[in-house]
Amino acid sequence: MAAEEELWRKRLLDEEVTPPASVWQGIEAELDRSKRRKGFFWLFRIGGGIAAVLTLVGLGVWLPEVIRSSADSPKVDAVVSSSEAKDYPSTDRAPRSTSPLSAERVASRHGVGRQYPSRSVEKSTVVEVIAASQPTSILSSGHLANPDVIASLENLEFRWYKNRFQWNRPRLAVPSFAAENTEVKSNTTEKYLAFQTSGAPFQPGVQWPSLAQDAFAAVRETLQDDMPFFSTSGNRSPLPVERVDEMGIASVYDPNSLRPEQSFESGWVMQWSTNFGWFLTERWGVEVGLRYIQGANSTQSNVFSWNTQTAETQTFFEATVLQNKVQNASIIASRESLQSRYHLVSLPVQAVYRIPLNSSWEIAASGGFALDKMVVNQWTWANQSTEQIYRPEESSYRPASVSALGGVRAGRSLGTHWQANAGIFTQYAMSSWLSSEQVSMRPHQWGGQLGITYRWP
Amino acid sequence: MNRDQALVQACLQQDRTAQRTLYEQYGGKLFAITLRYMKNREEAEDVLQEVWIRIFSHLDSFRFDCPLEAWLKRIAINTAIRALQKQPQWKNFLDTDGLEISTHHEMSALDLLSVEELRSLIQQLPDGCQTIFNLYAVEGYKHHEIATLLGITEGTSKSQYSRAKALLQKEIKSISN
Repeated sequence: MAAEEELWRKRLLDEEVTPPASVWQGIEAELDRSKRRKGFFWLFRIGGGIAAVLTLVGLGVWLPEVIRSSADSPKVDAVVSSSEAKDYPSTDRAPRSTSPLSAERVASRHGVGRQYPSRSVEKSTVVEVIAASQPTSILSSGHLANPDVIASLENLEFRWYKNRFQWNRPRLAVPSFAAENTEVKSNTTEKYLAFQTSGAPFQPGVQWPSLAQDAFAAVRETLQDDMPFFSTSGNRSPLPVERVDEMGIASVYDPNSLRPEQSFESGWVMQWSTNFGWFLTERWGVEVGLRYIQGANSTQSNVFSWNTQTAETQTFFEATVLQNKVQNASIIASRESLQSRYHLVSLPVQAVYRIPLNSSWEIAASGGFALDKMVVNQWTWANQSTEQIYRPEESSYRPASVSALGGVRAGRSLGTHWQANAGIFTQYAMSSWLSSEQVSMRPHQWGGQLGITYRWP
Repeated sequence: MNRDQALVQACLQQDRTAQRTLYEQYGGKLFAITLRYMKNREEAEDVLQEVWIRIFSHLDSFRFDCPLEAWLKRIAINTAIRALQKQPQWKNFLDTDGLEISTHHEMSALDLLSVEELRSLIQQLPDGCQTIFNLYAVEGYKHHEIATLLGITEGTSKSQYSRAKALLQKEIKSISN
């Protein structure tokens, strides 16, 4: 290295310049923000983890089924409907152990030799039970079919649809034995994993009947010493309609504009959820899931509280209800608009009832309860980037609340396993989000949802 | 475990006192670096803050395979370069490949100038010149390393360095006279 570079190095390489104190303050503030963000996102990480576990569990159940079904021919267990009825005489008794639907039950349900041309499960008659894996056919009479018929049955091809095997008429090898489009039910339970997103108008549902009384009382307390012209009694504005200040200038106040105000406008909520469900019967199922809910609405306030030491200003609602800072000074001033944003995670448990309409479409209704966990509530002043954050552990938000929810959705099959669905839903908080006695907050919403479902037997 | 290791471990536990200690121990040296690379004090303070945020968020990747001070300085230099590259005037100097300026210098007057004056001289250099001069003359990078770091040709690095030296020589002479 040339001498001049060496000279520069010697003079500058290990130079030190003391940075101003503001740099460390900035770093510290950023570290605090980062810490808060980390604290905030742990719930999402847990949520993501649970979703991942649910997905893995789903895959774990589904993959072996796929492998099994690709290795074996379809196993037919029970016929659940038939489009026409015809008896088939047999003299062999049905061995009870070879059929998932015992001969005794079949025999008791249907009279010997009777014909039931209905499509329903209970009234199907011609072929009550078919077990291709253990070739047995129990007739309405409660007897086994002839062995040659069973042999023919084994050669039949069934088409897998949802949780059913459908038997195609053109492929029917046994004339008049089973009806066209006979549906054969698997004895395994149908499960599904659903991913849904929904959007809905959102009503914060805040009730604060004593707002005027509370706000006036706080304002009077703040101002009574040095502003004696304020009214000190009654549930009216403490500000006079007219007053003359020290300079002799008269000011006229509009008493209507001085009413304490804290309004919560309706907003919008978005939800993203993963649900795991399984059907316990043909129609009835249970669904559990994990939802992330983000709601936002605007609020207007003309009552503010400020800390006289730090000059920190908040709405009266934030200070007295969310943070219980009764020692803060309160004023009624011009109306300001703020944005309030809510982040929640929710664990819904619902009962599901579905009605198949045809081979592609079904509708399903669901209803149940959800445990909603408030994660964070952010308040932002209009046109300002600074935000105030409230978490349940530092505010009067309850750590969790219960809501009722329900909905109706239509589903369309997209193939063997996938189903697209769309519908409407509603959710209503059963308990207040706040532990405050004078203010209750019971948000409710109803809107639309879209989703995709993966089903497996 | 030496002092630096103990300090780093404590910082990884989010110990604010340890973070402050680390900052106080090395903050001055890193501020000198950001001052040399940036055009003014305000920019240097902003970059210094960013440097420390990056340090604290990437401290877990430090494996003690080099001295802590060298690692911290490298982050400071890289952060400063990244900040410079975001500035619109950064690209201008890339077009001067092949610019040849006399490299005969009389640098003895350097000894007569204070560190603050030297830093100020460097800050007055055009953007690319300033960065390349810092990297080559002060930090001791080779031209091919600078070319890789800044995404320029080795020729550009050399010519910009020559230009920086010529400009500095001119300034030093005028101050000396």
